[in-house]
Amino acid sequence: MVHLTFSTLLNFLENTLSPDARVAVEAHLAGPCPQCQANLARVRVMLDVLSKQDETVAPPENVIRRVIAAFRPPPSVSSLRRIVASLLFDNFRQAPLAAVRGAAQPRQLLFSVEGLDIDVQITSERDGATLIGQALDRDRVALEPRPFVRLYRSGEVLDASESDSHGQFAFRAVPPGAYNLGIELGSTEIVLDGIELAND
Amino acid sequence: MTAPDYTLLPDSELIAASLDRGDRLAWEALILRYQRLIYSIPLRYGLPENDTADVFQTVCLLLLENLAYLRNRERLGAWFAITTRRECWRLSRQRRRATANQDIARLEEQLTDDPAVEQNLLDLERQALLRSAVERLGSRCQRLITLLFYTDPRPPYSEIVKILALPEGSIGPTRSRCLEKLSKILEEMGFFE
Repeated sequence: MVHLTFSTLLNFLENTLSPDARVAVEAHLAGPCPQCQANLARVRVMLDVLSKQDETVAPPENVIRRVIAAFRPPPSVSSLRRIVASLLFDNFRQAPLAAVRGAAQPRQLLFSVEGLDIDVQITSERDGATLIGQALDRDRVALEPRPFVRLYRSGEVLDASESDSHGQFAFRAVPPGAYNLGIELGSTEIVLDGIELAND
Repeated sequence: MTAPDYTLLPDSELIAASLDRGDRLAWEALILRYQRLIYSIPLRYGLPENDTADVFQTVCLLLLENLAYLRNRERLGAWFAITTRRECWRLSRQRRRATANQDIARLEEQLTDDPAVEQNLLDLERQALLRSAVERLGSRCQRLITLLFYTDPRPPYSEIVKILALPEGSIGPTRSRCLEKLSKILEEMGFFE
């Protein structure tokens, strides 16, 4: 079957075909011809959007330049050595649940790996959780260069932040769910698994 | 070997070039392609310009962090739309903590799943994607489509013929060919899905 060309579909929609040609197009579409019907629908959508006033706004040049300048080759999954940290302490597991949760205390976690301690505090609030952490070496000294921290959900980076001069990092208004933290140190990413966040 | 024309490369190739070769020009092409989409969503929600710039920067940096993990590299427009909305929501929550501002409450109302708001946002996303598709056309088609659809008031055909140095009576067929090319680019971008 010979299908209708883009030009024919365009002219059909813009009502510029001769009456005979229009009837022929209608007959072909009513065939039915699902492919031409789908193509017609696409051309219609495109023309519809083109005919509306464009309300999009381009950002100021300096805003774009800042983002472009921030580019650094991102670490690929395969290029980072990934180590899973051990959970040493969890106050929700150490104390009776009623005593801890009933008092609405934050959850305290301590992870350890290869000479590093990572403290994580989770505070549940009505509009999401706040997650504050600190990565220090065993002498309780902040790391240099400052670790870059990623918050993962289902393998996707939800948020990312460089830690401050004290090795602290924070993520706020985080929706409930199961998360991992990734702490990038040079060519290694330390992974903190199984971080559950819930609304208050 | 000549340098590729980044504006014509599909998203998946730009992502691969950014990741594998650390290609800054590929990254720049990605940002320029989606700049209008990312920047327009917070403005549509009524965020002030400085907050909009913050959202823009955050979303772009999140893309940088997520490049290696994107599941569907052909559907970057949808990823940007969802991520930008999420950042608007997060920023509004942070602002609410700092101030009891009625504008913030209004913003949060807009961020709910109101069907009218959804449709409005869908229109905006389509406009932004279409605009970025136009920027991927060759220069002649790009100029013609811009003159025909993005110039107010639209110049008469006689004027367009002079501007583009086209023969008399050729605008119709040229317009049709350019729209066909645009349709193919839009298809590559997942515009019709």
